[in-house]
Amino acid sequence: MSPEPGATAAAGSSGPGGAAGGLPLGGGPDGDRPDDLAGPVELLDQRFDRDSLVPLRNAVAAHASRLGVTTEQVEHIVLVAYELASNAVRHGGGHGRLRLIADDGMIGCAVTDEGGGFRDPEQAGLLRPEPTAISGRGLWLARCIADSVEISADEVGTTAVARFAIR
Amino acid sequence: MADLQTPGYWRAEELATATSVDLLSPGDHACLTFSDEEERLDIVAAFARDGLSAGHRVLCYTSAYQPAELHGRLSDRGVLAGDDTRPGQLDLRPAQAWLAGAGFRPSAVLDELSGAIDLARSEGYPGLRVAADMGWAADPVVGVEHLVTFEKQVSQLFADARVTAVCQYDRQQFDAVTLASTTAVHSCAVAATVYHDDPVLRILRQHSPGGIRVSGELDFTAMDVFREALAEAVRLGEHVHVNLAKLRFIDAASAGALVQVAATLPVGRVVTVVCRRLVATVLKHVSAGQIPALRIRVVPGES
Repeated sequence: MSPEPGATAAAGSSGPGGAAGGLPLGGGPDGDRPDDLAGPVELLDQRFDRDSLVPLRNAVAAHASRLGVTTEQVEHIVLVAYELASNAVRHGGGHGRLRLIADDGMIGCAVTDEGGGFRDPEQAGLLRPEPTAISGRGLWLARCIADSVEISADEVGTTAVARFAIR
Repeated sequence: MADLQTPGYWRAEELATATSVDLLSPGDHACLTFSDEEERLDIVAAFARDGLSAGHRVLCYTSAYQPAELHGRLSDRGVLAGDDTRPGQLDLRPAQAWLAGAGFRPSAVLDELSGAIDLARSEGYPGLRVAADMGWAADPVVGVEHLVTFEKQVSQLFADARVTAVCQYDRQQFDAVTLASTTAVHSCAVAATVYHDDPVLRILRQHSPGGIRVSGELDFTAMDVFREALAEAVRLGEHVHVNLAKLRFIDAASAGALVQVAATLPVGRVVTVVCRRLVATVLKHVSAGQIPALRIRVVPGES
């Protein structure tokens, strides 16, 4: 698998807040360090829709596997990144943007969309769906696999950030 | 790696008229062209199993494996010599024996097959099934140019003697011209039922043990066809075997669909899933552990 050509074209040129787009990925007070210190490195910044989820998975796998993490952790990062993206496709307006960031022993995956989001984003996916449930398993799974998942929503859309300690 | 390339044009033609292995009847000299060894073994296993359960003699000529190894692979797929099978009812022989001496001599092989027909009759078997792995014919063998004539003669012999047969040709070993000409002299083509086949995902019916086989990457975009394949497996068999050994990725929605099926089966029926560790992890998290009808066996798999 190789990353999509141009997948990282937007890296380093993303919006306000520097390479990491202002995402609080470091965890704790250290996450607010000034931009001129060695800080977050953006690995991937890719827009996606329903038809580009397979290349999105390939790109996340290609970039995550360069960090020297275990194959199992790469698979977990791909799974969670995909579930957040899939959620945006199905419930968040059909498309979104995924950023993968490495920072201080952590890998962060941030997915933003322009959908209505959740009535109660902080609670989404916290309860295990019943075996007979039709849907609602994606965020539950993401919360099970990632070290943390934070979901927030504003008038523009929803942002979900999953974090993994590099192992 | 399984070949997930888009099938060629003549393959599509052939599949349009192909029949399922469980619909073969005496006199059929079927041709199976395959690109996936799992698909071939599945169909041979179903062919042997159905023959044994009908009390027929089953003769398998094997090329890719030694007879003992093929026996193991058939056993793994539920082909068992049960209490009511007779000694020698399932007979596995090396196809290379056809080449003993001066290369491939069609008349000698036809004599051998006629002998097998006579023997099965004299031993009181109500029928004979012959499975032949034709991989040997892809090697530079003296006399192999008679292959098409030979297959034509076998069609006649088997039609007259009411023998059911499946010849197996690997699409990656034989050129398209050979495949087209050998296929044409068989009485029918046999193929796995394909629910979905593209470079990312393949969903096939699995005949033995009965269920489905899914390889590649499965996510919600293929949910409808995955549900349809599962539903058919539930209709066709008491127990459902879901072979995900070559599935590299599954999402929560698809795993949920599988869990839903297992959760709503009547008591006593079982869904057995064979899968890689990642798939097992997803199934576990989407509450598979709460479902007694769902059995998960983890196999090692490449990424």
